[in-house]
Amino acid sequence: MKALSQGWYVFDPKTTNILYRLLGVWKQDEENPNELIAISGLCYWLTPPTWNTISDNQWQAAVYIGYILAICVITSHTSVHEGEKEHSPESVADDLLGPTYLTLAGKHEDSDKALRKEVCRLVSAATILGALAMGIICVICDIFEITGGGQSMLLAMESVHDTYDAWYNEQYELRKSRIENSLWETQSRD
Amino acid sequence: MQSGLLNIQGGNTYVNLLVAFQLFCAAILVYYLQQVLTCYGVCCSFFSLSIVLSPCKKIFWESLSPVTLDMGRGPEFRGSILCFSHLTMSSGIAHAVQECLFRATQPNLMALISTVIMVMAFTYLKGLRVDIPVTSKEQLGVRGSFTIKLLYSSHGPFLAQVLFCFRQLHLT
Repeated sequence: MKALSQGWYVFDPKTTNILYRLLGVWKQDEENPNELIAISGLCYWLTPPTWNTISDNQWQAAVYIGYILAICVITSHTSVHEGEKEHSPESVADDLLGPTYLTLAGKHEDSDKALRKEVCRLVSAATILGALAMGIICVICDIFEITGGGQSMLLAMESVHDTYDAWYNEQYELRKSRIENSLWETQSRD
Repeated sequence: MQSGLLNIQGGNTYVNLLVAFQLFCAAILVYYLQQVLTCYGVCCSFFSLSIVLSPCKKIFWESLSPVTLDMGRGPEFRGSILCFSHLTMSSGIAHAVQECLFRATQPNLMALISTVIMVMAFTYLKGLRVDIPVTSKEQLGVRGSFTIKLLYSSHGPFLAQVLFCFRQLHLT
């Protein structure tokens, strides 16, 4: 959307079409002459604020922060509850209670119901709080002008961490299977 | 990797063709990088590698760029680490520290330090988790734990909206 608006503005800088002006009016940046900054329109309200621009217009910063936090919470909530049914709290509780015969430890009246209640409570809290934490990191990155801006930094770190986790788990599984195989060999020899 | 908006008003076609060819070669290089990483056992997709590329490139260039800029005080490096070492050798460490930490016009060391701090904060957040103690109904006395992480949900939809709303073009 942003690219579309920028492209149209470069194509015809004096457009009077109300739709394109609502979408965004752009001007050339002084510091990097290769980039465009939005002056007004929807894209202006969605540009990340920095220390310098936060004193000009506090409302823009507030709108941007609200938008990022809202988007994080909404996407997190939909991906857990309405998306793939693997992570929703009901299916997690069913997984635990059903095939694996696990239930909550400690003294409870009905362990199954207690486990289900605990899982639902924790997963709801985890989705919202986790999303808020990610949103806050994103906004802080934007305000302190960390290289790359909030969203790209967030996504990059998340992909790096996911790749590292996958690699580590794979090594762990390999090591475990190697140990098990060697034990099996020693047992069969004896 | 450089993305360029083709300068419609004045550029000639050879420059535009070169930019397109550069983007094509960049994509090929990223593909080869992904294949090499797969050989070493790191399974990352091409898409996630392309996403990681943009901030990595920015960090690399803003800290180590040898492009010099002359603003009346003699040539200064645009990269912050190079500028720091250059100023340390030429005019002493106090001036170098004060200059390089708070430079307004060019990338400064503060951005690098904040990036490191932010990476550490993210790693800390990723380790926050809650354990639910569970026992087995079949076997007595077996106790395990089921973890629920703070960053519980995946961020595919967030990525989708970022790509939709926040991609920028750059003028050549």
